[in-house]
Amino acid sequence: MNQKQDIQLIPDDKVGFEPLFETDEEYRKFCDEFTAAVTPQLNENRMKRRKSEEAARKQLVG
Amino acid sequence: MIINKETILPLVTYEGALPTFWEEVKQLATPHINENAIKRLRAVLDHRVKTVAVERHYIDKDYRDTFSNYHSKRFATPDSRCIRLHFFGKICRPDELRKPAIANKHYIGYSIMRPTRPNALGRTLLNPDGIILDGAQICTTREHVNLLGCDLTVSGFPFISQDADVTVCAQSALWMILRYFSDRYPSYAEAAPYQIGQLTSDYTLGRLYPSSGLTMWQMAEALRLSGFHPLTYYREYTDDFEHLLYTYIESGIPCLIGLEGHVIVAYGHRSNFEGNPTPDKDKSIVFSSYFNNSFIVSDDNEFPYQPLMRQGGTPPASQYKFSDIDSFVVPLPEKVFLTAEDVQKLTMQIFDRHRHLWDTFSSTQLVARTFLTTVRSFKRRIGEREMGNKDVENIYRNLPLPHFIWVTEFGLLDEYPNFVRGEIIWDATRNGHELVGWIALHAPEYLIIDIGSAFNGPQKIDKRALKDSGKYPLFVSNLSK
Repeated sequence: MNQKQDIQLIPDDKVGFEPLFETDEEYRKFCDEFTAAVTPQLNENRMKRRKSEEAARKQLVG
Repeated sequence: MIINKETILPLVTYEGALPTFWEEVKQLATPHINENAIKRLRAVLDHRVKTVAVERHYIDKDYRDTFSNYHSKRFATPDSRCIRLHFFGKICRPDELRKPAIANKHYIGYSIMRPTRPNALGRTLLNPDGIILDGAQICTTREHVNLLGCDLTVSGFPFISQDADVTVCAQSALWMILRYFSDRYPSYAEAAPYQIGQLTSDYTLGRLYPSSGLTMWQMAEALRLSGFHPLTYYREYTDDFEHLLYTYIESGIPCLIGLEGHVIVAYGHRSNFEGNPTPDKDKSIVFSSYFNNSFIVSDDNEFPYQPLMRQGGTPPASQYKFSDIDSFVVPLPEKVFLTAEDVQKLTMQIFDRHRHLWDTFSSTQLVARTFLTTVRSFKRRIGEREMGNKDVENIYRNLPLPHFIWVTEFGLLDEYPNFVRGEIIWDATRNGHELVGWIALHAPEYLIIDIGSAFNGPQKIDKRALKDSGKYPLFVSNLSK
């Protein structure tokens, strides 16, 4: 069973927080757009790292 | 002048003539020391050492490891013992070296003289004060040294030269990195030079000893077998190659630097905020690496704490320049799954999507600095930094955070490098495709945090308006000045 989750981050907080996204739809849209924007870049990073790892097999030092 | 010449611990004190001073050191440390070792020691110590204590019959754990496994098997067997030189920045009398309060105040560090040729310089740890240039920041570790019963302490980055048999530059560079981690963090085991060679035994292309070098991949494998999760980057396949290297070093992670036929270790950098040209006005964000004009390196053929400069330099600077660096290997800790180049993409995406919230930042150039740290280090400094706003300070204190976090700080160009105005925090234990890795975005007007993930639930991103936010100091913990 999970522990209590509605924990106050500031004791007796008078200001409080509000949701960044007003609706679930808005949140989902943000997630979709974010994922669509970064996924190709992250995949490209992974491919480049792979090429670096391959190159490392050939470079002799010492 | 030589004091107590025939004892186990003779001293050489500076009497105004450096050639005489070092000639006396050589006389006492012969036959282990050679001209090559003296030349290298002089490059870093000439202007600050006033006394050398020559500790005879010292049993060095690293040399004894290679002696037992390799050198002892030769027909002509070298001495199994070493000579340890201790350096002090003051002319010391023998009785002062028995008083830790006095001796520690002036202790610069030590260097082992091995009976190996052509390189006699063994394990060495020197305090970098007075060696590295002003403004340089480096990874340091601390060692406790016992000099005939007197407890001494020295902080610096470990150095060793190759013995050209068991170790060449590859094993020496690995040794420097592994010794830094094992000295500094108890979770990493200490590795001696011969043991380091054995780490590559499953991947060797020929005989292990005498070593004919290693590939960068073999070195990464040796790091993996030592408990790290190494990443390898080659210039030709990496965007922002020097920026990434800077980011890992800024995170307190020393890196193996691949050059043509050679490898060295980089563990610091030096920025020049006045000397570099003002960043292009069209760029709304300038990364802190823009101001970096040298990496601080140890080349086992040279001496510790050399600056490797962007355009190259003259001795005592490294003979190499930035463009000579072909590749680097980062010994990432086990639980850091998110890489620097991935967090850069993620952070910039989040920043761009919320820039409209940041009035303070909308009309001025910003400097962004990305680094990895532990939550323990981050929280330890929250009190002294105050985070520009009391609410942010309290919330960061109380917010459950992962062990490793990536932080990108944002500051105004004209306030940098003294102050920043906000940061984005990302969970380093996530993969890049998990948006739930985004922990916080702090700008002067707003704090946005994922309260849901913090309490182990589904993502729940909330914002809080901030009033009267101010500037606050940069996070400094990974590197020492």
